[in-house]
Amino acid sequence: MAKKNNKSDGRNPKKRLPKIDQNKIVTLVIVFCTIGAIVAITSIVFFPNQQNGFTELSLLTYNAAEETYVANNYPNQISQSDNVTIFFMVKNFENKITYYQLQIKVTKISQNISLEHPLSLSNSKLLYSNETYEKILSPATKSEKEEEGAQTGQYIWGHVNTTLFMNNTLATILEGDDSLKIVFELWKFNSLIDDFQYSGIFTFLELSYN
Amino acid sequence: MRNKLANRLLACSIIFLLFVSFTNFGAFAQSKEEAEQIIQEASDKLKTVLSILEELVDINSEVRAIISQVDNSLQLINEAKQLFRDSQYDLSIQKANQALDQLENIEEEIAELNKSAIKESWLIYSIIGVVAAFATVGFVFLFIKKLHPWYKKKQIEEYSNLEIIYDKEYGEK
Repeated sequence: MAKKNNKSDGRNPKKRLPKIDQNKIVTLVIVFCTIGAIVAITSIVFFPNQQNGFTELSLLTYNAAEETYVANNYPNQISQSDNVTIFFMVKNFENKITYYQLQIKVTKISQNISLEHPLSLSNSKLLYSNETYEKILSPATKSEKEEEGAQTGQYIWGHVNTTLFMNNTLATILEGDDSLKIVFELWKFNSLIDDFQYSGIFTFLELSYN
Repeated sequence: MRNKLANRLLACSIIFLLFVSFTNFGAFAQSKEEAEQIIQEASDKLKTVLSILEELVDINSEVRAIISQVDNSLQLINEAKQLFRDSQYDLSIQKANQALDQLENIEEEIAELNKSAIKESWLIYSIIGVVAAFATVGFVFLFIKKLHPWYKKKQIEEYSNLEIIYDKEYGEK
């Protein structure tokens, strides 16, 4: 038995549009759907909500005339008889629950501050004990992230009234200098190491000391 | 005679005072130890609750309310630590116990939340499963309905093009 094409019988074949192979189309659709489903499931299961977040730390002063907190008019001097009042505010945009600790340290004005390492206690002194400023904050919601200049909310820690002071013990770190730096370092609790870790987020005030 | 009596009285009172002070010191040391222990327990519980909270994916209003309660417990623990440093052990125990009770309640609340979340997710997955099953059946039905006639048609076309040629040489042999 052999096959014979009837196109070779001398008649002119009709001009036809190229036939679409339905089988191929269906196969392609199934393959794409399967690949898409695998990618979607993998991304949902293994990489849930991996958006990188951030934390905002700011120092504020109180403007009594306008009854608002402002990021200016910072104090510029401190003495043993004259304390300084300042407010700090922390906003959690980390996309997760975060347990913060704020450490306030006094150091020499010439001391460099690093993003990777906190100030060591050999060249700085803690103003308050470690537990004084600690807070657990909810992450900001999508609508809260879009708010501008929000001052209150479950993702905000503040405005926290802080008294900066100096005494003879703290003054020893200055070695006779007449100016100093007060550094506000933000630490975050890391469940894996079961301790606080320096976040690299800091701000500072430069003050003259007499 | 009077002197003897006075001496005995003095000795007895010294012994009594020493006994009272030792008893007090013992109680003081005991409350210090107890405060230390309860603060440690509360701190450990806080870390446990925090790690459970970190695992929650959906941070809705209920979870946010729980987070502020956890923060409240944290402030109580820190107050207890401060009181401990100031040697006010009884107050410190009171604050740490308060924090511990709160955290235990929170742990139960989270467990309840998780249970309802699991129930909800089971319901959602069941609905998705049923819909997917129907979709698959429909898809297979349509696929076979479309493809089978096309296959038959193609088969008939193929066979209609065939021609039977008898091999004469083979027949002669």
